[in-house]
Amino acid sequence: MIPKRSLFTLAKVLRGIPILGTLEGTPAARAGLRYGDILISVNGVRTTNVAEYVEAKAARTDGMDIVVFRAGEEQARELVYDELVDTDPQKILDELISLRIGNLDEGSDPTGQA
Amino acid sequence: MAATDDSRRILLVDDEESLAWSLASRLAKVRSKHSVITANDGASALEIMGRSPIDLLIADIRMPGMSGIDLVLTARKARPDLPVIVMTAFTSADVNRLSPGPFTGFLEKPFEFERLLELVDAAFKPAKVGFSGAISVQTLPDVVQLYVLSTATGVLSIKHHSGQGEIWFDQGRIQHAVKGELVGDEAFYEIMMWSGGEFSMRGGVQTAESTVASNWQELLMESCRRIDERARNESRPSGTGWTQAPPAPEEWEPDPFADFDLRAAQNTAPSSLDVRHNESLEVTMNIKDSLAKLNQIDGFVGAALVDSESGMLLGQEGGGALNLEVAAAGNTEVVKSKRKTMNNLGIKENIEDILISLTKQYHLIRPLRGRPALFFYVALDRSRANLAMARIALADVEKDLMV
Repeated sequence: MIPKRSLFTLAKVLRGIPILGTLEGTPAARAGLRYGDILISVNGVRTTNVAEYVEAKAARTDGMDIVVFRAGEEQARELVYDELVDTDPQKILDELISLRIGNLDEGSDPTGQA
Repeated sequence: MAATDDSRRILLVDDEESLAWSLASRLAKVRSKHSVITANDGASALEIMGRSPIDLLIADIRMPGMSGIDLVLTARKARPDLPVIVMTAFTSADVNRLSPGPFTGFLEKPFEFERLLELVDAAFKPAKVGFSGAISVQTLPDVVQLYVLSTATGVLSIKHHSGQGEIWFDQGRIQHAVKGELVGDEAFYEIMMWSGGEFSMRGGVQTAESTVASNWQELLMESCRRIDERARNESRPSGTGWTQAPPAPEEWEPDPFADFDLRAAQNTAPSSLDVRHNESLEVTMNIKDSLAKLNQIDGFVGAALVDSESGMLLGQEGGGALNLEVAAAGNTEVVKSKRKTMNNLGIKENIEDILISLTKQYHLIRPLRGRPALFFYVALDRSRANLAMARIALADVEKDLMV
């Protein structure tokens, strides 16, 4: 496995984004991506940083066509997103001590803390 | 350690009745010669003080009605040298640098009872360890934050060797700022850039002027960004520190593995990949360097940048015993569920951040603005973390990455 420092070095040279891991059961894992791959492009657009990655992702809403660099060559993959699954809101709320929504009204509690 | 032989009257004010009662009874037990009275709001506290003078006021900052800060300010109008201990969930260790003046102790919640005891003893020591308004620049946003979060009304006057500034608060809203000719947001930023000085707060006063347009989060965030930028510029010649730009490729230490991959990369990469393109090399380091900045937050444990849609882990810093990958996976579910719930409820707002408070840690999740599928995840040690500053730092990192 490529050491982390070397991965960053390689990503710099390739002007890509190092993939530090994939989460189990997600589209990235299903597409065979793994730690050490370097993301070169998304939906046909070069992605040298997170801002470009975010912009390139917006071209498709159901998934992404990507090119990654692995073991000396570029490989094209397609990721298909999962549908947002139904969940029990109460279960989530139980987990959360507080939730902040953007653009707080003035006068409301700015911290959400008791 | 008892401070003096005299008996003292201590008034402990907290809106959480059980907490107030439990602290007061423990205090009365271990310092039996003092009498400890409790109140659950500012108005009753003032009434008690009006009936009979007290020697020490211990107050929670966040209380419904009159805040702890307002209570302290009002109590000190009648008795300017009244020692106080304020209990808060958001102060930082920096506040303890304030000195000298009437005794003001800060207790960050949750706290050990022994820490309260130390402060009580310190408050009654003949040679008082005091606090007033001598500060360094790192603390000024903290001080502002203290007044914002305590919904204070009044004017904060700040003296610096280059001039004087004023920041006016109206129930915690930063309403007006003035520094010389400058007013409004720019005056606020100029004041925040001062690297040391003195401040004093005059509570209760109001102004008709309303010059500040941004909200407090934006103001503090922009202030931190400007302070950072200045620090970056100042540190560049020294060649050290985390604000430094990444080293040029020729300065990298040789790494056999990297050499191997670099060669492979050069042999197979398309010609459009210019390996000498230094500007873009720095850009790629952004994720790592930006997340590394979070290391500076008090109590930092680990951080990750995750795309919950694709499942890719795009950035990672620290972590220690915490398996960030597992934690990130779990939080992906939280973010997905929250987005789904908000869709179901027809809530159109953005999630700014999600805070999960565990017994020993805070977990802070911050989806990227406009792209909620991507989120930062930060774990903090609860006993040392300054949550408010962590939120600001995280917002700053997001700004950094999205420029």
